[in-house]
Amino acid sequence: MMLNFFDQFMSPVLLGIPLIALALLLPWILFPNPAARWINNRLITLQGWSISQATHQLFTPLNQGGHKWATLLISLMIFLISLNLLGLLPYTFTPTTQLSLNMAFAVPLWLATVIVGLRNQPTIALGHLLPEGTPLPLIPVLIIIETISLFIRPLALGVRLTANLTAGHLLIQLIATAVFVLLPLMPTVAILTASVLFLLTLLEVAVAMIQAYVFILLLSLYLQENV
Amino acid sequence: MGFPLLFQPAQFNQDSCCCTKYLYGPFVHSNFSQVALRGFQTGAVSRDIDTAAKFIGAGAATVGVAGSGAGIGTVFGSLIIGYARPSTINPSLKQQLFSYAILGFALSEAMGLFCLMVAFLILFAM
Repeated sequence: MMLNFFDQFMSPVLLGIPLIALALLLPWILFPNPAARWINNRLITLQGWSISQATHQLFTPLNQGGHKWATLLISLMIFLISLNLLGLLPYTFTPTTQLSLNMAFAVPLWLATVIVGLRNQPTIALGHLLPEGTPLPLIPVLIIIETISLFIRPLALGVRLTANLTAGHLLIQLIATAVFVLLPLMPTVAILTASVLFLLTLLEVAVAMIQAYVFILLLSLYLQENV
Repeated sequence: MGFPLLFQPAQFNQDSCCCTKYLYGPFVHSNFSQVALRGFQTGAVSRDIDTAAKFIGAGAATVGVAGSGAGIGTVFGSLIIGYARPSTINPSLKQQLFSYAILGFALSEAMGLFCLMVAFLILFAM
């Protein structure tokens, strides 16, 4: 039954030790720090170049106040990208499939953007609840709708990441099981399904990177409104 | 022809793990297709009306993913049109356009996956 396909998402515990803590620490050792040299080695230079490219692209639309968030958001993006990509290896647990983790990222950061906006520029922050040029009778309804939209944002952020990764892993496991079952029976169909599996894996690699990027992009957009 | 099928051992039903269920397959080469058919018909899950309703609900809820497909197609179609315009002034607009297209793709996919998640919720949690 399909219920067994969800066993891959159970948080692994070994002898009472939650291994998710280990899984969350792993990306830290994959990104070395720059040495105290004028020019570093190739790996560090590439890493620094790619990080600065991403930072430049994400934070150019923001003003000075938003640039303070760059360290937090870019490091979160690197964390999410590495967690997602590592999870695509066979038999590897992906922590970002846990809704609790993604909500723990989304809710505090979204709440921080709202609080920063309400604290520094409350009129402008509240003014975002009403788009320009609305007809007068529609104003109450629209404010209610925009407030609901505001509160759905952290939920959507967390669930988007969870659902994308969970669905991707489930699909990979389903199609891989199908290939495995079909192989003794109809090898040609199995080969076709295996090519589908290959294309799906490529899509999942792209989705893993895109979803992490979109998480941070949306947070930077919410910040842009409020800072 | 029908009688031997009726008296097939019912061990496939008691197997809780779907992975070992298929391991029986290669050993029973002569009538594997009939045994697989048998597995479909005699599965204990397919008896309950409640489970049947869950299956129907999950299948119906999966239709919503079509909206995501339409949305993604629209986004990338507009991207192609935007790319095809003569953008002689600002080549960096292409980079911006692509970035927004990826954002639109991710948001549209998220909607489709919300719908799929409701389908899973119906199938397993309710």
